[in-house]
Amino acid sequence: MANVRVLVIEDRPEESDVLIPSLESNGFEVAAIARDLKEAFERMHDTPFDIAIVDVYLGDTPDGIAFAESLNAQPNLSKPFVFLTSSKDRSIFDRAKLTKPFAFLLKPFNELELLYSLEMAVEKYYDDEDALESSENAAVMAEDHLFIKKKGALNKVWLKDIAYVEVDERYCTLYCDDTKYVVMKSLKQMEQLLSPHGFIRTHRKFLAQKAMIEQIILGEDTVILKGGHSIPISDSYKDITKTLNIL
Amino acid sequence: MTRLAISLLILFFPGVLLSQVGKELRTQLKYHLQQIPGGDRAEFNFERAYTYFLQEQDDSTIIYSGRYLSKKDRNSQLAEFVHYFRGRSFYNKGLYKDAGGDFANISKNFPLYNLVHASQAEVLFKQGEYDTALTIYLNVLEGGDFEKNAISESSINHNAGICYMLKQDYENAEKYLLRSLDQQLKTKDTARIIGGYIDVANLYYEQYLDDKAIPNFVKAYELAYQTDDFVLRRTAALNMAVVEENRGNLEKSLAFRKEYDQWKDSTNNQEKVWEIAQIEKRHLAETKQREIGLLQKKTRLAEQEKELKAKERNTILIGAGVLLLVLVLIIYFYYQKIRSSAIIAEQRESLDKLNAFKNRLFSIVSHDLRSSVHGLRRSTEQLRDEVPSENAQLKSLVNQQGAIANATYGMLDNLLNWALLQSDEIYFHAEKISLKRLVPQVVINYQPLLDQKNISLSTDVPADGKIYADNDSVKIVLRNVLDNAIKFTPENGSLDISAKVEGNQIALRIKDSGPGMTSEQLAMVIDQSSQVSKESGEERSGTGLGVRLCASFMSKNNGSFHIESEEGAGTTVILRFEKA
Repeated sequence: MANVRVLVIEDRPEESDVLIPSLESNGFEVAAIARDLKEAFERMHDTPFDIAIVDVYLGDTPDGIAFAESLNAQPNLSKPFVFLTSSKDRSIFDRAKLTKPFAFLLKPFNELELLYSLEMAVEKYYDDEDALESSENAAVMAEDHLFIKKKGALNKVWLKDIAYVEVDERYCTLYCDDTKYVVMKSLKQMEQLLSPHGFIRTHRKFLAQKAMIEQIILGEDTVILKGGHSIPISDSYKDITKTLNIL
Repeated sequence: MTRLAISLLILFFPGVLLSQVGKELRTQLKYHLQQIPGGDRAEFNFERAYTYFLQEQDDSTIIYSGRYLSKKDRNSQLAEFVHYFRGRSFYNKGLYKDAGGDFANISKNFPLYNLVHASQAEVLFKQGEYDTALTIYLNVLEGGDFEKNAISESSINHNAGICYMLKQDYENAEKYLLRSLDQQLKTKDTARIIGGYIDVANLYYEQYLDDKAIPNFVKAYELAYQTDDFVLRRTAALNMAVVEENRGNLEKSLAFRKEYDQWKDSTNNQEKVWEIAQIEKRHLAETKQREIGLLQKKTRLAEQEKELKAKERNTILIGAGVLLLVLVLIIYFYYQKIRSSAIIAEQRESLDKLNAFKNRLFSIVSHDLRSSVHGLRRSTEQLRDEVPSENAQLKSLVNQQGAIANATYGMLDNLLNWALLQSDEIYFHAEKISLKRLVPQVVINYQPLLDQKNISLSTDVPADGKIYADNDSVKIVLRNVLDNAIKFTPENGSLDISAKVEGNQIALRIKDSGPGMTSEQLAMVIDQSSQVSKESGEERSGTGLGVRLCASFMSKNNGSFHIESEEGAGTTVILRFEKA
């Protein structure tokens, strides 16, 4: 599990001084703070981040919009972002709303509003509406990780760390080396999300990452995974062994 | 040019003895016969001869005269009368020799001797004895007593003039003829006057004095035209024809010649011609009458037409006038309308400008003020955290200050939003919103206040409470409603927030346990939501703006804003949204 890294682009320290403690107290990690457009572009390239919070006005010019536009324009750098603004003046929004995804945070804001805006940015960016509505066990699939909401806070779980997934009614439990995460998604949903990333079904209720499989004991209908996990394998899924080169 | 013989023209005018037995003659005869004593006058033959003479029956006169003269016991005086009778009759019959004989048998004692003498001259004239005739005429003229002798002086003068003319003694001819004409003019006898003119004209014509002759010919012709005497007219026409022919006016001459021919023919059957003329006259008159009638009718018709046209024209004129007036009125009113609408547009433009300026001012002022108040609010919060818990008085002051800052901030926020909404400069983007996620974002701001008043809050917003609205405007509405609800909820009261699907709407209810409102108070609050009330008291002014703002935003979100309240039973605000 990892913290969600936030790139803050805010010219006024008094604003960032309010924003940063709020982020940190909610489990976010501030990747960097950029004070102007130049810095913003530099950080965009040299600092990995998951979400950007962009003040529309950097100084007296709406450079925040320019940054969002260039972020949008580069597919390999593209990330979810939130606009920070103190005015609902249409003249600003008319240009800002052309960027995608479009989420904004109106100043002054409370912590809930901050979290909500970040969630909205993630939901919209990864096109998973209301996925983070629940304060517990909500998840959104990103490129190589999952955003998982735990105790109201967003966390990041790398896919490479997930050994297997076990379903229990409407919930799925993700097992990593040392931790497990419960997400409110069906196995079918999880299978759809994970199969492109090297996960296979071993059982009606289990989904395993191929890369994590150490051993398949057919006699005992058991699959041994890295980290000492063992999961069952049912007859109907035994032909998966053909796709594995391990044995 | 050959000059035609004017002698062709009738010169003779034997008015003295012949043609008619004049009135004068009758009178003289009667008088002189009465002078003769004895009953001889009653003698049959004499009486016959006398009677027939008066009746101008020449043949009978000659017969009875002869019988009387052949009688042996004839009265010598009466015999002389009878000779005169017979002589005249002979003359009339053209028997000039016998006439001369009879006249010669009359002695110089005969009472009308001058008449007889003149008659002799007449006979001589007829016989071509112009010299002798002239001598006698001149004698007669010298003798005078024309009236007693029943002689027309003008005739004698005339005859004398003719004689001179025939003798080519034009000087004397002119003298006598003019004298005759002069006398004839006095008689008013048209026939004679015409004869006079003709003779004078001939006289001049004979002398080639055309300039003098032609006016007389014309006069004669014109006068002749007025008479019914065909002979005269014929003569006058012939004269004119000859004259015009000689002048070279052949066309005119031919016309006169035709006229002459017509009259020549007419002479033979004057009666018929006269009748025809009468008929023609009548016909002409009738035709004329008809023409006149027609003309009158035409005139009447024309007048009627004229009248009609005039009426028509008047109608058209009146119509045109009315139309023109209407047009002018229309133009006038149109102009007035344009002017007033121009004024209105101008005023509206300036009002719009003013309003836009006001909104702009509002938004700038409230935005900047809001930022300052926000700063104040934040520092107050920090201050509160720093205040030691044992200093209760300071803590209370800081809390009070915080409350004021919050209230002011809320008011400024409303003002800003109101200004933005009014100028339509607010960003408004409806999208699917989860009330379950939104409500806590607003409620969290009121947690300190709720804690302070120890108000218990229950929230029942299910996950299916998804609405279609603009996120921020819903928050503004909710903030205002909660502000108000908490303000009126007493300490230890309760606040319930619940959402419920109602058909295609989601109803969000905010119920407080406050004192509620009377129907009058409620009506006032609702009234504030629909219109600007300047009389609203200062303490409620914030609420007024809040209510209005809520109503406006709810309607902009295609939702509705309702307040239910009962005195003593709390107030419920119902926000109805479009279900997503």
